[in-house]
Amino acid sequence: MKGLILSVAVFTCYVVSTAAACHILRPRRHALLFFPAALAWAPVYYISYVLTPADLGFLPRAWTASLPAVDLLYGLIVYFLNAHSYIDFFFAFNGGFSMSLMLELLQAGEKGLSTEEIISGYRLPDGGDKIYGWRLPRLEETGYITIDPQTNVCRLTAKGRVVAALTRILKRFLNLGRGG
Amino acid sequence: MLRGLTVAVLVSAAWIGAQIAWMHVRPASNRFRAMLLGYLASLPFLLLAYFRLPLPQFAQAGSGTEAWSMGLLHAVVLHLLIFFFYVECFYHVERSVTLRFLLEILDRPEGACRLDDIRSVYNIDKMIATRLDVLAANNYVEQRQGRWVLKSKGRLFATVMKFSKWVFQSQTQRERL
Repeated sequence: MKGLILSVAVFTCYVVSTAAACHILRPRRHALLFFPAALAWAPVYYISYVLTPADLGFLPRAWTASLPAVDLLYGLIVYFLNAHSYIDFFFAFNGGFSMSLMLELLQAGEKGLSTEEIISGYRLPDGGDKIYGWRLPRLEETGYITIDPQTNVCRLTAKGRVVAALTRILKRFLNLGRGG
Repeated sequence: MLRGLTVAVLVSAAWIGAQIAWMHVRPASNRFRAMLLGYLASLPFLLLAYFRLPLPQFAQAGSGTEAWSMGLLHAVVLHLLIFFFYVECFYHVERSVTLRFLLEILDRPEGACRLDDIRSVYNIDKMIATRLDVLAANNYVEQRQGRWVLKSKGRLFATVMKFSKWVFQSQTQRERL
């Protein structure tokens, strides 16, 4: 029980600290904050586990772990699973395509939007679009593709090939269509 | 405790494996509903396994001094978190526009193509129309006289998102350029 309690406490600190940091610092790339912060809080969990008594000062004996090593590891796993859920929540709610569409509709209110109006909101004046427009430079910046500036040919890097191949395997494993 | 954790992992692996196999036989149109039903259906098995499943000696270690309810609690917690992890990974693979884009390039000869070639099969018109259909099928939006509006479920999610966007000072996909 001690591992679970400390895990939840440290996870709460992680959430509050990253939310506050995002609000104040306004990072351009939130992933560069979330992942390092999750790793940074993990030692805090370990240290708090080691330095606190087995019963945390209040747990009944029957709730005290008889295998502290297992309890410690369990708490750490729970922490990272929760951190993964939190980061996923962020990217799904704040960066997700579905949410972006729904926010447009929320702002439109009861009159709603036609499909054409929604699509035009994602087009750029030069004929480009806001889906590929930021995504391609980001994929190039993070090393998944290269783009020839003269021919506009996109090519997968080794890293990009690995991720794409893994995606294909997983989609087949889960019996999914092209998706996206 | 170890018994609870072992049982949680075994039952999760069993129901998730069974569900993925079943999706090959009879794919569900609403995969989230299928995953949720799978999780709920596995709960009685979790209880049954915790009390009845014979496990190796190492999985019984330490169970003498701890209350049995603690082991069960840890089993339920881990089982739930594994379910969340499975759903999250599923949607990473299924919904990601970026992964779809990388896959489109991989499928081209020599793993390279011009952007216009990708756009001809995976363009934003199709992307948006498909996603709106998915949202409609999942009761987030509906069409009224040719115009898309949020249903109450969609309004709730969008409102939460608006607040989250403020907290994290983030931009939607439309706002990034």
